[in-house]
Amino acid sequence: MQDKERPLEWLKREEVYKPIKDNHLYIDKTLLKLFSLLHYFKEDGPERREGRAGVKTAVLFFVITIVALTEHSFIPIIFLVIILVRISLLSARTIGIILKKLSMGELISVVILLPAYFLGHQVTVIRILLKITVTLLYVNTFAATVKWNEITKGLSKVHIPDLFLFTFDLTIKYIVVLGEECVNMLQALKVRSIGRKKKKSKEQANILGITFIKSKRMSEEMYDAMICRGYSGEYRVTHRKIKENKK
Amino acid sequence: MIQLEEICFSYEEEPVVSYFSIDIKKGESILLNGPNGCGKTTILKIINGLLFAEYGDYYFEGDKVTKELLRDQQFSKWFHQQIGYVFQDSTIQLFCASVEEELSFAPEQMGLNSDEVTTRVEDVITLFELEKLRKRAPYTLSSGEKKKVAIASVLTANPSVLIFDEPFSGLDNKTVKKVQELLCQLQKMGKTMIITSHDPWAEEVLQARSVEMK
Repeated sequence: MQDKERPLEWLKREEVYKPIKDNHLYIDKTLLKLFSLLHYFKEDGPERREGRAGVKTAVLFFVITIVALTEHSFIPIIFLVIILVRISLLSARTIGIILKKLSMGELISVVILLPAYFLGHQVTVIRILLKITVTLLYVNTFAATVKWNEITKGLSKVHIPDLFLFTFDLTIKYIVVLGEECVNMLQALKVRSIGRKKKKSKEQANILGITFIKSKRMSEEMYDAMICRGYSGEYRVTHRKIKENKK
Repeated sequence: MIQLEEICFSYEEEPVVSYFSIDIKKGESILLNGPNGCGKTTILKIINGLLFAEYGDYYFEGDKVTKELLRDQQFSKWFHQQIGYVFQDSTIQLFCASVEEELSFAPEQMGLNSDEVTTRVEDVITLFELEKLRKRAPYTLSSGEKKKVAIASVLTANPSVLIFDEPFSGLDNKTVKKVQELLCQLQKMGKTMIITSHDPWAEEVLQARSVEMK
């Protein structure tokens, strides 16, 4: 650094600072939401278990297909009873997450189906809502009880295309990676929020912009890394379990 | 000025910091030493109010710093103005559209008049030789340039405590030397400094008190 001609007097004196009132709660609220999202996507929830991903995925597809195609109401009711019993064995937190997602899906469905109900198709509406409930419960329970990488394995066993699996896998991983980047940036913003800011939306836009730039850079670097490790365009899901060498 | 008493912290039931205590006086320079994963960054984040200890007490200028106290917006802003934190990864703390905006971010928030803001910004631009970079977007800079901008942006708030998390990581020798010169200058100005580094320079040249974490 240059030997200063200007004395930097303000650095040498003690700063007497009385903060002006301003609302920075949005940073804490955003951080909390991000933390809970990251916690959900990270694989170490106690209910997410390894093993039998193929069976679980096949069961899920079977149930969704049967429930969608059947015209009888008793089949979805039977599946509903089974899944409710399954859910009752989970922790309260997981049940809460499943039910919260269910309620959001139900709300949207009710809004869409309401006109049909008033036009005289009550039975049909109730049957459709029942099917939606069963489907959402099965999907959300599956997501809550199967590890993300096991979901990919399970989907590959039911012959879902590789490209879809690749996209799905990377999306989950990058939600966590970029989420953590956002958390770090928000924490840095929090410690730099020392007074009144005129344009809070500008900061949020800046953070989103930088996250987008970072994600683009990461994807380019990741592609280069994959090429260096022999990637040729085919995405393979490993089903083989590597045995530990116990000595 | 800063007292940590029997601080304990764990990440998902994995203990990282166990009964750590330290007393830092005003104007002192501290070097936090220890192997990777021993909790150095965790301690820095606790001092900075980003994390809260599961057990133990943290006092800053006589106030017991707790989650509840930091909910008080007035105290929280004053607290964060007093402690300047330079993250290990400079990228995460640079989010403005240009270097100039980055440097003026803190003093503008503090409500300083435009002359004072200009003085501070121009002073740090000269100090860090950032004249050619002033209109550039921070994310386009090299890691050394980002580190300089990150330190400069923290300095414009004129904090009394400066925390540097691995300030020399990823820098070439020339930039390391420049950052070291700056830290010496800041020490002479009476700033309290807490540094984590594997470089013995802080202990040898800065005469920082070395605190070993295991």
